[in-house]
Amino acid sequence: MRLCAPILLPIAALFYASLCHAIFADEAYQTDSHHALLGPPQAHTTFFHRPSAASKASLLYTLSEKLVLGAINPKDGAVIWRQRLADSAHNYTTPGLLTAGEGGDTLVSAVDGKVQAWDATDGRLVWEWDGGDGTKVVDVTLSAESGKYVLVLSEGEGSGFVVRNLAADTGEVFWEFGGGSGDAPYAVVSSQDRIFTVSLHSALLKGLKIKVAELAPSNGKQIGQSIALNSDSDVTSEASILHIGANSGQPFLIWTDKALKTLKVNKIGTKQITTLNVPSSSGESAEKIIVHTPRSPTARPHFLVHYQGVDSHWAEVFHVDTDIKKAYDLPRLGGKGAFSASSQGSNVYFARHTAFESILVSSTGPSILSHWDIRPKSHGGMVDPQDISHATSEVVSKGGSTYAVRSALTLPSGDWELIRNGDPYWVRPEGLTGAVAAAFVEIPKEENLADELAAESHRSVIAAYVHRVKRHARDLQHFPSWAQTLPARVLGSFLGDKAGSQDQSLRRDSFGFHKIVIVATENGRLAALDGGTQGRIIWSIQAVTLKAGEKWRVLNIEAEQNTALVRCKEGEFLRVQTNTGTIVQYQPGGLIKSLKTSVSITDASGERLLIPVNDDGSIGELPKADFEIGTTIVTDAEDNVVRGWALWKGSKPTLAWQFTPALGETVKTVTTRPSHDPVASIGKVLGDRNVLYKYLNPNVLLITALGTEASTATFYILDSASGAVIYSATHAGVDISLPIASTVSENWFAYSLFSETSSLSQDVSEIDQQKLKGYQLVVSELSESPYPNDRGSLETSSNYSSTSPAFTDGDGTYDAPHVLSQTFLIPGPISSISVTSTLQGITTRSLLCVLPDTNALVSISRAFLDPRRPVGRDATAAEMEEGLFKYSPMLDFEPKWILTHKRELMSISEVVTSPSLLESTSLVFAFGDVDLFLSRVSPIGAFDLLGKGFSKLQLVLTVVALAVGTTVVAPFVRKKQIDGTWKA
Amino acid sequence: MAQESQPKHLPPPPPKWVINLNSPPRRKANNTHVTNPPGYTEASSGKRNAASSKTPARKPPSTAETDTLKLKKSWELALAPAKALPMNAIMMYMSGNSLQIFSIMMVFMLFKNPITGIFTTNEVFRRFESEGTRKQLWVVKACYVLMNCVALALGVWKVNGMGLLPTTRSDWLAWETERQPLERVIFAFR
Repeated sequence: MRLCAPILLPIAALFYASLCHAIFADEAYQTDSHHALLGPPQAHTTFFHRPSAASKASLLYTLSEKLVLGAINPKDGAVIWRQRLADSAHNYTTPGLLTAGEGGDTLVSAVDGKVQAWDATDGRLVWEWDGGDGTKVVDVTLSAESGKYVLVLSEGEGSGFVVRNLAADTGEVFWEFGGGSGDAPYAVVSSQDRIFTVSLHSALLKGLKIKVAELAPSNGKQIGQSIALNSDSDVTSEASILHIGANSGQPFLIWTDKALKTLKVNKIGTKQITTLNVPSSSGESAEKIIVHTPRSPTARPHFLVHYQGVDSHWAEVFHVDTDIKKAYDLPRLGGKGAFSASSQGSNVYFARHTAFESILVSSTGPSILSHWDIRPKSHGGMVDPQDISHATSEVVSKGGSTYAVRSALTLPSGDWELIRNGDPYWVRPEGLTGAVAAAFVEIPKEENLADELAAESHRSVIAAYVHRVKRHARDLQHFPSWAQTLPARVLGSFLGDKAGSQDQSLRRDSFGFHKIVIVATENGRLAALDGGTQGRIIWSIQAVTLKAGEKWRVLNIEAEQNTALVRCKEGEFLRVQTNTGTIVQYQPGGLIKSLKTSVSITDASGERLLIPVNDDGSIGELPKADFEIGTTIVTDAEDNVVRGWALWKGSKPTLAWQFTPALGETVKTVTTRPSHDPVASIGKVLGDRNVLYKYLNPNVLLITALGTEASTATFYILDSASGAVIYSATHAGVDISLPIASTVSENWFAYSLFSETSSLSQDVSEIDQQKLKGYQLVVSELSESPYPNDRGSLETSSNYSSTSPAFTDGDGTYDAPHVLSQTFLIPGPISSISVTSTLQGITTRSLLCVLPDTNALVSISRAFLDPRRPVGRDATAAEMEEGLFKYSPMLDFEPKWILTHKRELMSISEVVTSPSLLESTSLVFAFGDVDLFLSRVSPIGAFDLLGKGFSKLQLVLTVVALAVGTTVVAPFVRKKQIDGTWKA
Repeated sequence: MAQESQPKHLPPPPPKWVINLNSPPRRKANNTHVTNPPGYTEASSGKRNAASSKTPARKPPSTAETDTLKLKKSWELALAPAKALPMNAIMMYMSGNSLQIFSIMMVFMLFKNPITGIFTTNEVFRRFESEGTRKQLWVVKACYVLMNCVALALGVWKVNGMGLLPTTRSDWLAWETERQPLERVIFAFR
């Protein structure tokens, strides 16, 4: 046996490696689906642009509200490249800036204090200029003369502002100009060979004076005195300035007064102000004024002013020449409209998109060049063309009077639709970014068979028989369609289905893969994705209307029969039909003050009650009910205390225990076992056929506490019925700014953090200590006793209580479980850990880890993370039989564990899992600030499913060949047998 | 048809070969006028040579002698399973503890033989049974059963080695239940 060990070990390792696959090559892009999103596009950073001077077709670029910079192929809406400019962990307030020079092959973006240039074709970073913390880039402009320089206006360094001139191809700073102490910088304008800075100077009494200074392009010195414009009576905030015509042949500045009655236009560099009255002919005054100008510096200096009233909108077109002249009006139309300006050469076109029609006009005259009628709700009713938020267009003249117009419309839902010549082309569900909660729900059954059968059981025999005959007759109506699809199905199953003919209807499948995912986003939207058909969106609704800047704080989503319950903070909740998206019940929040949430509890009589939980972690008014002995509620409050409340000790909830972490520590997260966490075997069978009993406590609680000053992280395992700390582990030298993730399931828990790799590192020098730090994944297993075949002091008793003295040792303590831990060094951080869930829990669980560094989702089998792996020696035969192999401290994420294969998941924060009807397979949905990803995982292989390599055709042919062979050969054999009898 | 059913029609006389077969020619005893071939000594004419042969005429064995003989023979039979034990043990050791078709067949035989032996004890010893041996024979039978039990024990040992006996804790794990807590905890932080 000893001789065999070296041979067996690699075999065992291979066996395990082959078991722990995540996804096969032929499953990729078939079983998984990915919504690679950008976020709702912003009006000022969305445009069509040619990626390089040589390219003929232009791409659609945007810097979205989520600060994702992306290039979209206008043909099919596919993402060509995208970059996230904000760290998802950090809050961002700036909307960001994005500019692109005509004919240039880079895009320049600015977010906070960072200016970055991106290759427009492939999205690679060309250069970066970082102003450091505290700096805020206010404006970025490409110099008008062939876009050789990038002018960056920033504030936050000293008292005033700084203008920098950067080389567009390297990012090298040529000159800087600091000035205007006390002035708020607003913009930098480059026009032909002149550079102006525009800043806002607080006037003596009230309002802001607009100050324009001219800089020399060669060295950044100020030329002459700055011009102060008399705007202090109108301009009170930056919002009053409507437009600054940077990058155009004729730079001009437009602002309005507070009442939106007049427009003031100033050609930058002069003191002259032209006043224009806002038309309000039919009694309706403008609520919002938007100025649209072409982006190209070679286009004519024409602009369109869009007035949006309450019920209607209208527009005027102006020409800037020696003075500002109104060219023509665009008539008033009801509802909201969106305008977009586009230019080809020097010609400027304006496209108008309303709920009724889309038209194209030239800037020179009011004649309508093209007109497209109202379009119905496109994309299967998913897109409602009402109330377009903003639009961007590209107009190409095909000679004569034909024009090709492509417009990307941003809808109020956040969805982004492209229409070409009035026809809907594609839509991107950008409104689904910012997902905060998600859950898998079952597809409601069309006719509930169980209900029908139950109805039969309550009737007399004859009535039940009639009912069944009726039901079967009713079922016959599905027969023709079923018979029609039958040949295709049979053929498909023989020839290996190419997944092309996917069932679009919402029906459960026999494997339970087909489920609905309900997603709630922070902007108050709810959507349902079809898990069976590549994540198709079934419905998407605005569930709640939120104030500007407010976020929908969803706690969780619970699946119910045919509905989903969305629970939010402050007691707000919502019940929605899962297949249609109709809201069945809605309870607004904030009805009771300081209410944090409410939990539903069934009392002793089986009635469901809602228990309010307050902000401070206490329990609110209790409805009168009898609770079973031992009913405890665990709450955590903002004050770093986790509390347990006993409900059964009288009418008022009494504080049973409270947990406060060690001094200097704050509670970061509290984790429990998943709600669906079945355990197939209560013990672990060892190689010598003995049993190590698992410590299975459904009340177990994992608390992560961080010591900010001491940089420690402590993980506490609590029995939440008694509040007793079962186990705790402290890690020193933890970088608490890096992600710390934890999970608990079955009888084990796992967490990942960045810390010192060894507790013995106190003796070594500072530098060595730094070297000894790394990302770690720690896995701990709890068993009832350290010895096999031992169930601790409770022995065979089928019940136990953590609080009742009858079950404890004499001194009131009870046996703490035995904990085995093992640490693995991992190559990168893990921001979230989840566990796969299967129907009966027989399949070995896998850890689903989100890797923010590589934008991937990895599935690590528990077999690799067993703390009982032998350390420093090869596994014995018995251990090998158990599936253990030699411990190695480094755990590399094998490429085949990566569920996302080639896909890149951007800003994923959470993963939810759900069992399918197959024991081997768990459904996985990953969501976060930007992306959505849907897949399924078989931790130890799809052992209960025929693989794609299984040829049914071959099987049938073999059977047929055998049958034919038997019938052909049978007469011969019979003859031979008879002859043999005669001869004998 | 009428002819065939005629009752008076007698069956044809059997052929000659049938008659020959049914009545073989009587063997003539001691055809004295035919001389024996050289080297052939006629047993029946032993009386004539009895005096010349060394062996005395065999007496018919007495009942006591037969009984002793029978007992001896039965003892041999009773101990036969024990004699096969070492060979079986070596075979079992060699076949290994893995579950394969050969080891399974061997183990099956190892169980089958002793069990059938025990059940057929009476049949096996019936031919040795007589008035005289009946009293001693039960010891022999007991020994036979014991020996078979030893062979059976070898089989059990083998099955145990193969891990087929539910002797360990893990074999009964499926019947053990999870310990249920009396307390129910509801988590209200999500």
